[in-house]
Amino acid sequence: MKNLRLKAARAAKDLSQEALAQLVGVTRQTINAIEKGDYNPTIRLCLAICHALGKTLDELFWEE
Amino acid sequence: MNAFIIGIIGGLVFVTLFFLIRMLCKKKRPCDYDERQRMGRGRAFQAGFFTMLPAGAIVACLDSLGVLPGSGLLWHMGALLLGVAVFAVTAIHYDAYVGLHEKAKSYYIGGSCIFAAMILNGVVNLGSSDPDRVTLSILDFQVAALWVVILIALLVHRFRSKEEE
Repeated sequence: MKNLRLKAARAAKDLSQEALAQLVGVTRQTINAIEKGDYNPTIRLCLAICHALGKTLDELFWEE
Repeated sequence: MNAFIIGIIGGLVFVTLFFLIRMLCKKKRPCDYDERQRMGRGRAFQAGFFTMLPAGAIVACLDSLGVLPGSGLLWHMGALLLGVAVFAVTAIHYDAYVGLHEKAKSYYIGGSCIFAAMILNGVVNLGSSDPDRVTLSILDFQVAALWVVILIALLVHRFRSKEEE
């Protein structure tokens, strides 16, 4: 399932996939795969993304 | 002392020198992979290993039956290189071949240089009257072919990656 909330939060911060990837120490393709729903990140990476975007885990990764 | 023993000694000396230089070199060369890449590399190692294992076993069986044409060494190396090629292509497919701090450009340059050196060495030795040298030249072509496969896989992956960007 696509993670559109992550994409929206990234866009709101005016960050490219590459820029976010550098902030959290992964490749751009990994961020792309998370946004497309092709890869389930570990809790460590989820937290790093949340810290980088100033969001909580619930806001970005919790599925209703 | 025949050519194979000289080759083994030369290889050992090369590996020892390589590690000595690396140990003495103070500059840190990070070669990290992120969590998704490590997963991809795990799959790639598995694919390479389980390709090399049966390929090597089949070649060994056929070699002992004496049904393989040409030198057995080439077939054994072929099985080994097939495993390496499967590993490399699978890792590239999972975007796990080039590390976080590495540039794909260095692979293109390095790979092209190795390819050119192998082809050159192969062509030079191919016309030799010594059958061992002819075998080694074919071995050079095998390694060159491996690099062609890796470079093509890298280029295809790059174009696909650009498309999805």
